[in-house]
Amino acid sequence: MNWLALMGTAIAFIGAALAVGLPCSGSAKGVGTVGRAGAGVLSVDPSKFSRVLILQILPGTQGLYGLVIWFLALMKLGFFDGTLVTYTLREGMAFFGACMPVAIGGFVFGIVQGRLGAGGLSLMTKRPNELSKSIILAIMVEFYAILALLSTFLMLNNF
Amino acid sequence: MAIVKMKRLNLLSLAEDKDNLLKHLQRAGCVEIIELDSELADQKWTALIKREESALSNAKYRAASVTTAFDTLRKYASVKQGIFVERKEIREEIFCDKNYQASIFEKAEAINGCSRQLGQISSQKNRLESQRLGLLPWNSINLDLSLRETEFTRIIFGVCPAVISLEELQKNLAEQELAAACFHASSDKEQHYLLLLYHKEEAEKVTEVLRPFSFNQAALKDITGSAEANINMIDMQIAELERRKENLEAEIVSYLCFRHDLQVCIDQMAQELAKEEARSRLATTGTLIYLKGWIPAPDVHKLEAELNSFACAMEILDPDEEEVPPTQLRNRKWIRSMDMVTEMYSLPAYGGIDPNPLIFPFFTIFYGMMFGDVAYGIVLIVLSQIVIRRFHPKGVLGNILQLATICGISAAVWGFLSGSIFGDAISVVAEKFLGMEDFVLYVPVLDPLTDPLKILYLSVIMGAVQLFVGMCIHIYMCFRDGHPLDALFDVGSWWLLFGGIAVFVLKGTPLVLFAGIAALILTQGRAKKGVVSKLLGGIASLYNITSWLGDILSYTRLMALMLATTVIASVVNILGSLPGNIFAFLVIFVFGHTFNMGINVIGTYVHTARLQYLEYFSKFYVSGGRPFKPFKYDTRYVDIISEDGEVKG
Repeated sequence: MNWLALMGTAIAFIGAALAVGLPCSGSAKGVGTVGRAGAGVLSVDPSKFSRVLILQILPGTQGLYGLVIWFLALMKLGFFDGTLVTYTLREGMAFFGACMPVAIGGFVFGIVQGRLGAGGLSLMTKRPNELSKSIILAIMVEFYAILALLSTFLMLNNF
Repeated sequence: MAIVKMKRLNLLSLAEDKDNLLKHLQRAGCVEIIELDSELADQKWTALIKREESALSNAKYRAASVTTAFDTLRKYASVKQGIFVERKEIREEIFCDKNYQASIFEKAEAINGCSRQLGQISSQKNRLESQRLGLLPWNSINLDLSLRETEFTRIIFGVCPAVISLEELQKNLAEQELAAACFHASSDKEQHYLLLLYHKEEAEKVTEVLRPFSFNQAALKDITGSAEANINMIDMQIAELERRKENLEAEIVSYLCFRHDLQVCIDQMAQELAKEEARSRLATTGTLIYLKGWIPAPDVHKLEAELNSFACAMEILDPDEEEVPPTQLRNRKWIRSMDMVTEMYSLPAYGGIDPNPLIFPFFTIFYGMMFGDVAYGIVLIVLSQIVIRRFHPKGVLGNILQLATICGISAAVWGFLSGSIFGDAISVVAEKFLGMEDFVLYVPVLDPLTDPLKILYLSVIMGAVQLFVGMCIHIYMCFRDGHPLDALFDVGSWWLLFGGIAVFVLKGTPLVLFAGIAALILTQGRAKKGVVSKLLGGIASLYNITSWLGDILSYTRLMALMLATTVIASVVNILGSLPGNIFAFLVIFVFGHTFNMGINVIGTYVHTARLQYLEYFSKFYVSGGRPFKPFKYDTRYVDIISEDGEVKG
């Protein structure tokens, strides 16, 4: 087996790694943004903890979507049952490409949703009953994350 | 089973009966008393009536002081309060007993008295401590601090900045050979503390020498005796304060046995406050009182029964055209769990439609699908039922728990269909710990990992069904409100268009599609003025086809989140089985699945609610209702049981 033959599988693994790594970074950034703003809110009114928590969780879903794809990709690659698949370079590149919607999307959406959540926090502090509206605003972004998840999922599913 | 019809209530009664009247109204709990602002601004009315006086501020003070007392007690006795309040049952005559109330209020005032004294003690202590800090630098000088001079010498307690060199100061004084001496008391980061003695005749020269050293007199007003004696005295005072503080704290803790009575008292005071608020909305002529309010039509007989033995005149009217009645939704118990979902968005307008029965099937089915796992569902059911049985929560919390039970059932059913029990826990355990290869419990109908496309189609079809139902409700509302043509134009044209797309795809003829497009162009701009803008409005409406596409696609989240729940559950199982040790497996299993459940319970709720709010409600919902707020028992810690065994609040 020459190095070129292993290259495809290696690239596929890089794709799977990015599919979980980038969305998790995005989520971490997003959750961090909301958390920082949330700490400010809590310093004034600790009783809002549960509401702040709900808003803080929202950007966390991108990392979970990344994990879903990572799991599926590793399953397709035969990582868990020990029957590692050998891809050609072309197949490996295709696999890598299929992972990209979630990888890129999750990274960006996590950050964007974090900012929206922080904005929602200030809405919630001024009008405590409008929590649902700030959640809805933040979750509008989520729709596109779901589309990215679906496209990656459907592409990977054909491997 | 819908938005409750409201009636306007006018009520006249004798002024001397007003306390009794309010008591009965609160018991009946079905009248919202309206502010009489417009009447009291009208001269014809004000000639006859004036606003009833009420002791609102006193009631507010009493309510606040009991709450403060309870918080103080909790703080000093460190009573832990759980997330859920356990409601105790109490008989109505005890709850309304003024003597009981007064005796508990006394206790609350006593606690507040202690708390006020503690506040004073703490500020006294602060003052003494800052005095002590001011004296500390002079501790080494055994001299009366109020001493300023003797017969021939002047005594100055002074400070100069810490950057100054003391040796230089001493040297300068010595060089001039003055009859003066400078003693160093102490130094800190900022200043040197010095005692200066000099002969009165040398005053000018000494001042001259000291000028470059920024020497200033220290502020030691009203202190007699040496620093050490003063410090000792302050220490004694502080110890005395500490002792008093401990006594007061012990006294507060001694009220701990009354904490349940205090909770009852908090509720009693809240009811008194509500009563005073109601009283402030009454009008009086001096001998009569007048009350204007809203009452739900089905509750009229309840009020009549309550006021049966009462001298009053009651008039029940249909609402005027210009009056906007408040909205109250009344549904069966299990549908009532949707109240919270609706209230989080906005209540329907009085003339709108009650969405709760309409969202109930979709909400539960969608939630179950996205949360779909047999075990997660069962955990949800068990937890919510335990809290319901144990704490009998009311209001929003009760609704949430009711909803959790129903959604748990739905999730368990969906989990069964998709073959998910803690993800793939059963086959992982069978394979790794029991040594059974390829163990299969049963073949699920919908496996999201082997047949995702089937679930994707199912999601989109369920979405289409919900949107279709939404449009049907829109048609119903149009007919009910007497604009059947709107239904035809707004919904009919779109159905023609969608039908046209189907015909085009299946048969290849675009005629029906064109008819649909034409119908939209011709009808959708009808609200505009002028032929051109009507046409432009119609053409612009074609753009809405993208929003329909978006609405349908939005339902793919059903599949995506179902997959997310299942896959993350499986990841937890795999992680757990990696160490190959059953204890490690159990630890990872419990933590992982708790995490997955926790994050998904909230996430799924938000996504399910969003599908109702943005996709479904946009088809028919008229929001903007004002909630009906009856004057009633509204308690936090107790359930009031009336004589006939009925739970009042």
